[in-house]
Parts: sequence; C-alpha cells; structure tokens
Amino acid sequence: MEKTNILEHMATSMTQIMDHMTKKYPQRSWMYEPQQYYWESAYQAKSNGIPTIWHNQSVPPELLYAMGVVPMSMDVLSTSMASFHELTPKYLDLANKYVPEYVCSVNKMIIGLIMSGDIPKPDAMIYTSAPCDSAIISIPLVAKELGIPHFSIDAPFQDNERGYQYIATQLREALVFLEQIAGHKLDWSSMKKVVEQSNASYELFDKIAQLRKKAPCPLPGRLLPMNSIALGMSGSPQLSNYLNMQYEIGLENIRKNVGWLSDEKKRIAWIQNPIYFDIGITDWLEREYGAMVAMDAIGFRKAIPIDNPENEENVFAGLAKRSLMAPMTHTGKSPVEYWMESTTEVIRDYKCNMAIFAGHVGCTHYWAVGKLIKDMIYDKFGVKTLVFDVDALDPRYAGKDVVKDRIRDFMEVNG
Amino acid sequence: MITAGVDIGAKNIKIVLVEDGIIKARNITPAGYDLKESQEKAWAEIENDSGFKIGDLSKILATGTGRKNAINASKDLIEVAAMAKGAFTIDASVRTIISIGADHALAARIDEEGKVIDFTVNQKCAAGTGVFIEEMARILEVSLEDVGPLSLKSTHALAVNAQCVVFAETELVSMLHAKTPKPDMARAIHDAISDRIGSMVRWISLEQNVMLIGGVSRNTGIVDSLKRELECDIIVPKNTEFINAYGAALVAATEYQENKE
Repeated sequence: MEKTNILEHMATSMTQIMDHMTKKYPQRSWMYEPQQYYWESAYQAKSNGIPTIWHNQSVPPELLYAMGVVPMSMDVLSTSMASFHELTPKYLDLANKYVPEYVCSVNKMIIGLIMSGDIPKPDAMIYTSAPCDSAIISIPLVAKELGIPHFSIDAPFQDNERGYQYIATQLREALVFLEQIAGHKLDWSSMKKVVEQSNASYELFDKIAQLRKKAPCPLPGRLLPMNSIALGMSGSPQLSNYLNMQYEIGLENIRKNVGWLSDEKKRIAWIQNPIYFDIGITDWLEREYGAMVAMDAIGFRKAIPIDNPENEENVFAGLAKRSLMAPMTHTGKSPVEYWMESTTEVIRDYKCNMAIFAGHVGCTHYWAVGKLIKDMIYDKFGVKTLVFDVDALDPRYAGKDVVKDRIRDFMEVNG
Repeated sequence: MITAGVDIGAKNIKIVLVEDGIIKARNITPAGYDLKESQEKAWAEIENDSGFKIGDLSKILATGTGRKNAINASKDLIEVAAMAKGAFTIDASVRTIISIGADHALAARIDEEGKVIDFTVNQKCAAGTGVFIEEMARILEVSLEDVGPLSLKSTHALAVNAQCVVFAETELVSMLHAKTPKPDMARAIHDAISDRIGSMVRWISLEQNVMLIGGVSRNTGIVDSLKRELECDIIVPKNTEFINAYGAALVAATEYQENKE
C-alpha cells in the first residue's frame, strides 16, 4: 500500500489552495487561512519539538492551546480529508477490516489512518464519551492501538449545571494529565489569553448568527460547514480573525442592503451533518435554486462567554459548558428535546421554508429520531424536510450527483 | 385534446393516452435491454391498437426511473408527482399511496387536494421490491403468478430474518431442505416485503385510505400481507400498472391547457 504522510499532504494542499485563491479569488482567501495555519502547525509540530495532542469534538481546544501543545481534532482531521476523494477509500476500506462497516466514517477514517501508518503518532489523546456510540467504540480502540497515554472524560446525558460541574472536575484532571505530557505546568496567563481569544470567537459566532437571520442572508451557506474548524481552533487568533472577516463582510452587505444571493427564493435549515465530501453543494443550491442554507441546527451559533478569565473556577465551568454545548455533542448525545429545540429555533428565527436532513449513514443517534424531527418541523411550521441517506465523508455511497438528484426531486415535487 | 403519459420502469414501459381524463388506450411493453428500441416498439403498438398517431397528441410527459431516457416526451415528471395525480384522480379519498415496482418502492402521503406532503423511496435495497419476489419464487420453484395465491394457503407464520435478498435466499434454501411447507415460506417472503414497506409508510406516517399500485399489487399475497402489516384495508385500482402513466398524462393535459391560456 502506497505511503502518504497525511499531515504533509494536508499542509501542502492547503498551501496550494491558498496560492490559488490568492491569485484567482483574493477576496475569498481569508476563508482558508485558519485551515492553512492549522495543518501547517500539525505538520511542523514534531520537527518543532511541540507535543501533538489528539482530541475529539467536545474537548475544548482552549485547554490545549493554553498548554502550548498542538491540538489535532480527530473530527476536523476526518472531515477535512473527505475533500480528497482519492484518499478516503484507502482509509475507510482499511478500517472496514477492523470494525463493522456501519461504524461512522468520521471515526473509521481515523482508524484507517492509524492502521495505515500514514500519520505520525500523537503524543497523547484526550477524548470525551460524546457525541455518540460510534465515538465511544472507536476512540478507545484508536488510543489502545496507538499505545499512547490517553485520558477520557465521561460526558453526562443531560446538559445542566450538574453536568457542567461533572465535566469541569474532569477537565481539571485532564489538565494535570496534559501537564505531565507537556512537561510543564500551565501558565495561567496563557490560559487567560486563550480564553479571551475564544470569547472573541464565540461572540463573533453569535453576531454572525444574528446577521444570518436577515433575509436575504448576507453570507454564503458554505461558511457554515467551514466554521466547524472551530472544533479544533477555538482559542486561536487565526479563528478569531477568520470569524471577524466573516462578520465584517456580512455586516457590510447588510449596510448596503444586499444579500449574498440577489434573488433568494428559499431559506434552508440544514438540520443534520454537512456533506463534507462536497461542501460546494451549498453553492450549487444557491446557483440552481436561489436556495440559501441560512443556518444549521447542529453548528456553532451561540455565544458562551467565560467571564473573568483570571478566575480558575469560571474558566473550568465555562469550558465545561462549551464542551457539552459543542456542535453535535449537544444535540446528538442528549435527549432529543435538545435537537428539537435547536431545530425549532433555526426554522423560526431564520425564517426557513425548507429543511434538509442529509442523513449520515453512520449516525444512528440522529437517524433514530429523524422522523420525530421531520414530523415536528411539518406539524409546527408546515415546513417540509428533504431526507436522504448519504455518507458525509464517502462519496461512493451516494455521490454528489445522487445528492443533487434527491434535491431536484424534492424541489420538483414541492415547488 | 389527447395527451400521453409514459412510465419507463426497470421492467416495463407503460403508455397511456388520455382524453378528458378518460383512458383511451394503454400499452405495456417489456423495457428490455435497448430502451430506445423498446419504446419505439411500445409506441408503434399503441398507435396500431388505438388508431392515434404520436402527432395527434397534444403533449407527452415521461415518468418512472427511466424518464430521462424517454423518446417522444416533451418533458419528464418525477414519479411521485405522477403517482399522486393518478391515484388521487381515481380515488380522492386516498391519502397514502404505495408503489412497488421491479427495482424500487415508493410511498407518498397526499393531502385533501392531492398534493404530496411527504414521500420516501427505497432505491438501494432489493428487499422491498418486485425483484425480491421474483427471486424467492424461483427458489420455491413456482411462477410469479402463483407465489401470491400460494402464500394465502399458509397455516403457520414464519419469519425470514435476513434483511438482504442475498441472505434471505440462503435462509429459504435452508427452509426448503428442512421440508418447510411452501405456503408458509411464501407467506414469510411476502411478510418480509411488507415489513420493509411498512417501515417506509410509517416514516411518512400512514393516513387512510391506502392505495397500492404497480405490477406487484396484482400479487394477492402482498396485498394480504400489507393489510396485516398496516392494519387497514388496501385499495388496488383497476389498471394498477398504469397509474403513474395515467397521472403523467393528466399532468400533461393540465400543462397543455395552461400554456394555451
């Protein structure tokens, strides 16, 4: 099997993308800056002598940035690799030799990567038992296979004060673990700086979310899946800069009284996984139907400020809340009412007249309650939901042409 | 004004000519390997039988899985829209429509105006389609026409546990070797399909009255099994194979009229 250094591949590819964007679409190159930084840091970590810590989506990267280590979100890694269609079969098919096929491909991608040896071993792992059974099965397997130090955080079912305290306690223990790996104690001034930076990011998420409520929407749909880079970058200035650009552009469009689309005909609530192997599907929807994905129901849109970042207790309580409120963690791990609330808010506040449930095949949690959500949307709002099955990372299951056919059929029937 | 609807299915091509909402002629021809050739044959036959020529037709709409490959049609119409139109026109009390074809199954719920509220399609899995019955009938060594009535003679309910056609075949072969009565096996096959269809219907929420269309609806075993699965009566219309083509022809008539105005 041909060897690939995945981190090198990602870093090189992002550089090429940036070069291309800078030459051809300079006004959009800012969209890719955080990713370029992220992959370059990950690629250079070993040669720079900086420990790399793998984590999953509800581990706050702030903790890792504060410790001066390089965070690598397994979710960001998998979903980013999905754009490289020539690579994904190799790792997914390899993973299928070790775990059942029905395990989520977000996790299988990591398993395949480990088994192939195409990614340097991290120095340690921190993970939570969220958002789903697939993660719970896969991640400990990955940790065991890597033979590296790892720390697990038990996520409670309910997101409430008791749950936040439970996570906060474990985050303190995770910090002790990190200090052992990094070989130094946390300098609280670093944590303060990182938290201030992430406060700025979360505030921007909220502001951007408010802008997107306007009709026509002042920003494109593709930024919603792109914003998921925050799972791995919250606390970094690169993320804040990216979000700030996004906000400024949206605000400017509102001042000029223009939408991203000159003729916005439909507003879509994207209520389940983005299609990571083709985030351009939102561009196609805009061109083909004047249909704007106004908001997603499982993404970042709320400010979760951490007041007074000098205060240790505040910080851990705030990070714990962010952990449980993380995209997909909040709605996928927990009682269905959370997803219902989130979806209700999106349909109502963003004035959506259509919903899309792009049902990721590995996602038993969301599929289990798909009908409840679909029926609720129709009964409450008279809004119809397009439901189809897709593997968000693997176009071999249902490629972009099949996805487009599903959308076309729905549009034809519903006008 | 005479319009036509062409339903190009995986197994058969159905053509219906309609005037003032009444079927004037219909034709069913195997789709075969060469779809163009089969369509030419179907059109030649219906022209011959009905006395109408293609040139006499005001508008032709194509529907079905092969609708993008239709010759002669001016436009194509998504199958669920054709199905809803056809079924609702025949019986305005219908609210849930099920179509089981050779290679896919479709379920739709419509409102009191015949508009589609929700629909779902089983396209990836043969276990809820006509192909599954054909395959199982072959294993039982009975004809497709006989497998339904055979199932009605069952005295003992069995379960085919495999969700997949491939594994179900293995299961049936084991049952055969265990000398399981064929009527019971036939019933188990039909119940497995109904179980799959039932899931589709529950996904879109069942609302009575329920109509079953498509060639598979001629199978009395399926109708019986579905009645038990859905716990309600099932309407099987006359011309059941032609409902989609009929619906397409009706939509063609409406569109033609609207363009004229």
